[in-house]
Amino acid sequence: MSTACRLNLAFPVVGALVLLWLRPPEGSVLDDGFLLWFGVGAVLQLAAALVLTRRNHGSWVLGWVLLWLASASYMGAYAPVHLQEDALSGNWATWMAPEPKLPKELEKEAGEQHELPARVAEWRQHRDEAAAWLRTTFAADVLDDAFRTRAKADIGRAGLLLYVLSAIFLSAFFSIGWFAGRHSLHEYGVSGGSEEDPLAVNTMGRDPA
Amino acid sequence: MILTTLPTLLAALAVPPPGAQADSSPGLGESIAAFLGEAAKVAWGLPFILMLGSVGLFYTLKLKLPQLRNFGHAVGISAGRYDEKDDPGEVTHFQALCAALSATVGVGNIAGVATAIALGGPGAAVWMMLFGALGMMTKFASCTLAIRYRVYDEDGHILGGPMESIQRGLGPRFKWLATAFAICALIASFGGGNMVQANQMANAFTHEFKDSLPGSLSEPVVFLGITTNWLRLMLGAAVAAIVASVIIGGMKRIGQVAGVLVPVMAVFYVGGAMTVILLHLDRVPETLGEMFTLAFAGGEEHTVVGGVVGYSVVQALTWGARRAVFSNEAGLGSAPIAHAAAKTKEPIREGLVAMMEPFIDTVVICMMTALVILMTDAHVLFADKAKEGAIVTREAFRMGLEAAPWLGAITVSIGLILFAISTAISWSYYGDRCASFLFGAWAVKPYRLVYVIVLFFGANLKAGFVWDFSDVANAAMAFWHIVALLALVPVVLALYRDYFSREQVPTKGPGARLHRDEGGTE
Repeated sequence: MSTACRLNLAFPVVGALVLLWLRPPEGSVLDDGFLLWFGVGAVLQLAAALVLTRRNHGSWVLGWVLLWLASASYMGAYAPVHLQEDALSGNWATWMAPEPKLPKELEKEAGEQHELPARVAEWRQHRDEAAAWLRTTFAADVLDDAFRTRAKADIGRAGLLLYVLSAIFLSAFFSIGWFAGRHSLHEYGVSGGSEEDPLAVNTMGRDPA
Repeated sequence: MILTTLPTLLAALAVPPPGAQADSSPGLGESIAAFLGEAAKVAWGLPFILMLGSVGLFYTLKLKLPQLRNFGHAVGISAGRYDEKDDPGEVTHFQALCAALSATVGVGNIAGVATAIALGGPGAAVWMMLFGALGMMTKFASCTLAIRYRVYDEDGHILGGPMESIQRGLGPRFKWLATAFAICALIASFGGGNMVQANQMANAFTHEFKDSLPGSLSEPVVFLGITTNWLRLMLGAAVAAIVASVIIGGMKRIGQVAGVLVPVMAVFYVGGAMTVILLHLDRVPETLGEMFTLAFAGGEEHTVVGGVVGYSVVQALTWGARRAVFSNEAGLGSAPIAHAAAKTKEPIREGLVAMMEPFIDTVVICMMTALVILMTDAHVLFADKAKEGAIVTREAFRMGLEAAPWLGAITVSIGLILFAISTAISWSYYGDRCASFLFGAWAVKPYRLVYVIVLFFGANLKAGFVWDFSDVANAAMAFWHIVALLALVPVVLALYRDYFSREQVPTKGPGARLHRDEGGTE
């Protein structure tokens, strides 16, 4: 079994263990809908790895298609986590961001020239909207320490999930590139692969040495 | 069906007139815009960003940091020291670099940086720079392959780029992959290089002259179902006319115009940014400290599990990388189409020239814009204008040049016009090469006509929509291109090792004559 096949077996298995460990707990803003997409992707990648252990033309075609489908499924797993995390942490960041300070010189003439006080008022409005979203999402009456701890834990979990899902996606996508390489095409007896020497004469390139 | 739907669709995507009430039920246009917005967020998420970054990192490590080791040689090639009159191709190394640079140095350098910082925080600027450095190698590899596998089309013009690299490098079995790339690149040519440029320019102008314009120019006008105003219509028409007058001459004219325009606009804009930075020199250490802290450790309030996995870091990374790639186009596969036209026999030479592009575009110009924005806090004060980033940058320059705010506004406005026009000119070439690949040489003229029409409409559409359209289209073309860059690694490595195993003798400048006298030839 080639190293590429071994890696394609290892990544979904290790990824599944890590994702199960990171599974959002009860009451989390994040949901675990991504696990279904990941499961489909993992099965496809494992199937691709097993199919590609047989070195013939048919295996290459099937394995390559399975890797594309696995990559697409991993993107599907990434999407819901990303969008939830985007809403959660976007509002969190707005709420937590320090209030903008105006340069002293501009503050005096801001009303006429730069409308900066109005901007600051708008910024405060955005902050209030973000706070309202956070209160609703976490069903918290007050933005107290316990709320902060829960929000931080969810954001941290989402960050880790994004990195893990990205790494698993890369393992499948890079395999697509690896198996499209000349060495792999040759190994699997795939006709139509370019047999041309990279340094050979080109219609417009340099002459051969 | 299309004729009846189009005005409704355009109306929904158009800039809403002042005081207009939002419709409570979303129509087709709003649904498309919302879908594109979500698709752009997912497509340009962490997996895609890491994919682009890791390809650059792989080439960087495999070739042992050529960004530093071969930088001097790349400068020499770009300066024409290795030009050979009889080499095949249509434009010199310098003209090819300028043509590609004119496409990359665009609105992204002004508006994209502001968007990245406003949405990803100050740390996004550092990630932009790092992705610029990694992008140097992605671009090196793709442009090397573009020269290696270029061909002539039926009209005798050079046809090269990822579509030819895929088809000829991977073999005819992968023609579908080359076709998929060409289709995506053709669509993408109407996005970032076209609509975004016209749109951001129109936004900046509308913002600049909103109080001083005669009432008739800013009054809402309905044109083909689009509610816009006369200023936007005139700007759209002017940009379309200027671009049309250049692109009709093909790559040779584009190369000549870019060769003049790019150095002028780069010096003009960088000069303006340098002035602001020098005026606030005392704030530079603090700003740099904030950028690097937020890029790697995250803000204290956002850091959750030991810094690097914090939310603010992911946001900084994704937005920084997203706008870096939008700006320098590394990994998208667009620039190799321009570089393929260079006069050279050595693929590696053009690869090294192309390597300069992300450096100039992202490491130098974007970083200057970022410093100006961060030193003036414009990203916070104008956070709600993040999607119309040019306004944020313009306000940053105004605040930065406190003594003469009008000068700051003019610097950005003129920079924006020059950047937008030059980018639109070069991107048309990318699209016309893809049209030629897909349909044959006859398709080039109709494509150019459609291109200038879309440019005109781009000035009148919503900023959010044009950015999202561009992001989705760019991501789509990059996916196919990255497969080729991974599969053709051995070809790039073989060409690189072969090139540097031979002595490289300049044709001009120091050392050239000595070698010739000794009988040394390339």
